[in-house]
Amino acid sequence: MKRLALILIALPAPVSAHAAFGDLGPFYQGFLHPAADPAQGLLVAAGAIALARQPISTVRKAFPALVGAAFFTLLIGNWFAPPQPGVTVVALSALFISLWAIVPLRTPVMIVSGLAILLGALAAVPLLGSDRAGRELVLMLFGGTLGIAIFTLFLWGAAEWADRRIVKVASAVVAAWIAAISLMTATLPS
Amino acid sequence: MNVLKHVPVTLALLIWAGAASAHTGNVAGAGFITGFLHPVFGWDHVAAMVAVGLWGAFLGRPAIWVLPVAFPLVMAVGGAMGVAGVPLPGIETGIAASALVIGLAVALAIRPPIWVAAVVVAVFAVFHGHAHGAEMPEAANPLAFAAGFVIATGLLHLAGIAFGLLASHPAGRIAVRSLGGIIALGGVGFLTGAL
Repeated sequence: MKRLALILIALPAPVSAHAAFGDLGPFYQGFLHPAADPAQGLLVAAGAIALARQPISTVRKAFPALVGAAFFTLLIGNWFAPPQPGVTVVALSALFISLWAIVPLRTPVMIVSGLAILLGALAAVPLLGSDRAGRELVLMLFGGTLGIAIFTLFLWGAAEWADRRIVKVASAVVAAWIAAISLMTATLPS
Repeated sequence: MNVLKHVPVTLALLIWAGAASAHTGNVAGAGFITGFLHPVFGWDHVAAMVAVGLWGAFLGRPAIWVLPVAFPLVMAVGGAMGVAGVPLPGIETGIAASALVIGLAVALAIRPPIWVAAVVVAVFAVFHGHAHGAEMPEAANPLAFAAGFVIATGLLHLAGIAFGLLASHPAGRIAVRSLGGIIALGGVGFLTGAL
């Protein structure tokens, strides 16, 4: 028995128990998609930083608009297949939003909310077209919406904290980094 | 005692055991690390990035944040040129010259108008960006590679700013200007090929 154990130890096969991103199920697939897809992460980060550069009274209206847009895009978009935005479109959107975040402009609430709606929809679209129905659809709907909401809220909070506690322009510097990454990503050959 | 008898054999077998490859990581991880290390392991890049932060802190507001914001934005233009395969002559010379010029600006306590400082930094940023961007399409995950080198560049700026803040004290001012001089000397070394 001991000999058998020793032989088995001596001949280990590569362990492949944990695939990097296996089938996580509809909820976690939706929840984690801003982190799993770098282009989507860039877009959500740009949106969160842009919100952090706006007054809190504006964010109170724009953030629900963003989350609502993501929810309704997932809900309505499940019945017809909207075109998937390519990496270039997502990167250019992140570039536009992050450039807007660098310039300290007090933008009217209506415009910020409008941009938040577009951002929420764009962040949700990649989850569509997976032919889910019933319970799977509901899980994907809530997972996707929750993921976009939590990632945005977390990054917005981090940027707000950095602006208040470290230096007032910390979020503008991070926005410049996001803009730089977005610009280079947009020029990549598809 | 009976158990102890098997310890050497077990240890030997454990040492010979092949590496488990359960978590191979994904291409995003590899791309990010490679991109992050690209400016960090290039001394010419490190010297120039730290010099930008030093100069920004030395010049005070608004340069302290205008330069670290302007640099990555213009660097991205250079990076995009590199990705697109647009040739840029004298890349290595431009990178080495950036350490020399910005290091000298700190060492000599040159205080130009903010727009002049921004233009100087921006011109050199194109060379740095092109050097990074040219390698980007070959990366396993180009987006993660870009994120890595942009964040590393930004952190090097912050390191320079942190050191540059010492300039508010008389002794610190000497230290900051001395570091500028060392960076400028490094620039001469990069230009001549001595380093």
